[in-house]
Amino acid sequence: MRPALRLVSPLPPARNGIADYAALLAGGLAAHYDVQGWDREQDGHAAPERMLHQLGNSAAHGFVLRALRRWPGVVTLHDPSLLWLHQQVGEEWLPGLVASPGSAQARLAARRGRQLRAGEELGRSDHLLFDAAAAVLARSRAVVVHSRFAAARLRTLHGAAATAGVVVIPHLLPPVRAISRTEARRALGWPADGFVLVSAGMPHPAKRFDWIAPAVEAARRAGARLRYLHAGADDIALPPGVATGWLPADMLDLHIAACDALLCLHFPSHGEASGVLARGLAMGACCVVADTAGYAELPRDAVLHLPVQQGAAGLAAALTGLSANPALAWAIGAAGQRFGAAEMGVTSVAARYRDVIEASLAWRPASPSETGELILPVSVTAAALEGALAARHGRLRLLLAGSGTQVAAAGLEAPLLPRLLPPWVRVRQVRMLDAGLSLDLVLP
Amino acid sequence: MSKPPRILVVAPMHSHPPDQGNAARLAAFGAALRARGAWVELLYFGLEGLSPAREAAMRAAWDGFHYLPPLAPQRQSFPCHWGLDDWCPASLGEAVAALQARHAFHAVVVNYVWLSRVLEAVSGPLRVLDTHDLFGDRHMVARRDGLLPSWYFTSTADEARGLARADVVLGIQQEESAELQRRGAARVMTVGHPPGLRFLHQAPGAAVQARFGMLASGNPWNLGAVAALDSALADQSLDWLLAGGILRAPGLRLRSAPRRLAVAEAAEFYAAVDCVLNPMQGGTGLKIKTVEALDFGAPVLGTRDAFAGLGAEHPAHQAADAAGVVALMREWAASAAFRAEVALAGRLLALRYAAEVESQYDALMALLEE
Repeated sequence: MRPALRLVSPLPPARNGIADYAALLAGGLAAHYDVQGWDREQDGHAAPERMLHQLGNSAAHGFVLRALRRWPGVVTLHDPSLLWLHQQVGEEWLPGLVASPGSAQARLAARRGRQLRAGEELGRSDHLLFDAAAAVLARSRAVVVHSRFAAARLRTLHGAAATAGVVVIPHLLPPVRAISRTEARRALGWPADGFVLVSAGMPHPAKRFDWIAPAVEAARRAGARLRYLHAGADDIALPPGVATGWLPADMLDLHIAACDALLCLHFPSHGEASGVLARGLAMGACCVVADTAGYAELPRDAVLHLPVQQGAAGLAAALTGLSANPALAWAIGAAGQRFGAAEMGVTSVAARYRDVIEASLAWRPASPSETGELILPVSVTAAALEGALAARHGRLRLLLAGSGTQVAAAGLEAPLLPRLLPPWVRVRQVRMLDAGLSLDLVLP
Repeated sequence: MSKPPRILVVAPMHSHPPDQGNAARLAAFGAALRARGAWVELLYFGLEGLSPAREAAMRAAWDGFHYLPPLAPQRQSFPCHWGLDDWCPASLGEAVAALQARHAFHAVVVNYVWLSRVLEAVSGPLRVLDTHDLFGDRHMVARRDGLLPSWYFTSTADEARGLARADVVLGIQQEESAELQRRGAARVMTVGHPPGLRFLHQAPGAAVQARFGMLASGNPWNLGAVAALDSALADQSLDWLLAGGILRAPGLRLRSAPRRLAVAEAAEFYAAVDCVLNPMQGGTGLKIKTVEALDFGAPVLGTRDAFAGLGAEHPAHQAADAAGVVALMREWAASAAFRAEVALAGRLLALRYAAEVESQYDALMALLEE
């Protein structure tokens, strides 16, 4: 009899790559487990022995984060930086501040935090200052990432002890319908010839749309005859006619099969996985990736690596060259397809997951130190504080940083500590310091 | 020092339950040092008696508890005031010396200058005197304020002799520390009374019986303050409530007809009023009742003297006299904005004062560890 496995993840019909990944993985894991999917908030369940959480960096994963706090298990961290997730589910992100207290980075982050609280918008550099993965690491029996880069990044930021349970399993190759470029173009009503460039998926600034448009223009000025389409929704004001709108998987596959080159540009990258890239490899599309992070680990003949320093100019040169010699693009696509089939098939990936899940049953969630210190703003929410404390046990000194006026005001409506602290936390001592309210806590 | 310092505290009052100002001070003093890692024992010179419940409470609160039954005080040595050692029998010093021989304390802390004789009985440990108050010419201060002198009072010369017995003298607030220095103490540290910041943990109960209230014992200063407040109120337009030992004072008649509330615990009082009054004028030391009200998070209206040593800045905490307190009461009753302001100012004052006192205890602990 197969043991039960709870898979906590967005699942189709949710429209995101992790939902697709989870559904595919569930199919592979069904050979080893009786898989039950949870794709929404759960309450009142007993803790199952085998839990697999799929966590990405968007609001759709808030329920996964909360389930993880309650039921530790194996976590696939599709994006090792969880700033967006924490921000979008309404939680403070300062709990995940990666810098050690007192360091220049921590001071910079504190200052930036004040600016953000004052209403400034998040910028790309904020990903370098804030990271909420620490709590996830501490609450997991094992953590799966898709690249050595992601694993190294976690180890650098959170230390060897906290990341002892991090393992690398390549992304999953989705099942795709074998269809030739010609057939796909016919199905889409596209002309049979002409170089077609496609980007796909959820539009995000890190996918370098700011490079793509000028590169396409520059390539055209250089004589390239190419057409560019974004196979997906347009949330970032692409030029008219470029975006197709959200596409179901079969239509997305048709677009990828029909293209000559698929842009999978992620820069800066935090080690996140790309479902579009996996799909491109599966379909045999020539994938153009930024030569950075986990994408740099892909074989040099399986994708086209774009030096990130060259930006739009480098992309324009690549597009000019590829459009002049489409056979080169097709050869790269074929090599990528062979690589994907060898390394990223669902059967082999599911078997590797099984090994990790079974081994993790003997592992404890990474153990933080018995005593520690934590600094949070006195404006921290109860949910955020609970999240930060979930990663710890034993004695902890918590500084609720703020001026006397801020501390006083924070407790006017209702007593501050019962409002903020989870009920299982014991307060040993309270001290008011110039820097804020210092609490000596005992955590179970 | 690798081991935590061992400290013997000698006091003529009980520490638990901390149901009066000096008991609260003593209890907080021990707790603050123990929280910093010190081993702290109490020798209770039982002038206030010892019930089994009190003894159990004190044994639980200290690292060690010793008890010496009281002896009748000597006759008053001087016609106008007590002599320095009139209330301190030699046997108390002998008891402390015996404990010192057995336990080798790093420091002996004596409460009240009138027990300073104990410090002469010990040699070796750091000798600390926690003064609580100024007792030199206290009777003259009382007379100046129109009150009859009571309890212990002595001359400034005798007080100075007592201060000189200590290596370190503790003043309960800055102004008093400066005065102790003027009166001859060699080394003075200010160590205030730490508010427990109870408002961070719990809301006051919701059994409000009056907008304003005062909790007081029946000492002459409190009686004077209540009389002045009653007079300033002039009519019964502002409802207020009086609680505490002062209700047992004989002949207490008040035209403003406050509701009288007998309370077993201070918390009952703070749950029964929206706003706490402290109209005290004159007096010395730190007004522990003011600190207690701030500790509960209650809005407080009071005189400058009631807030002496706390670093208060808000006008609600700096009335010149009882009439000023009544003016504040009327503003409090009329203005929601003022109520909010006073509430925030009280919390802020409690937090700032708590931070200051924590630093003071850190400094004291550092000295004890030298």
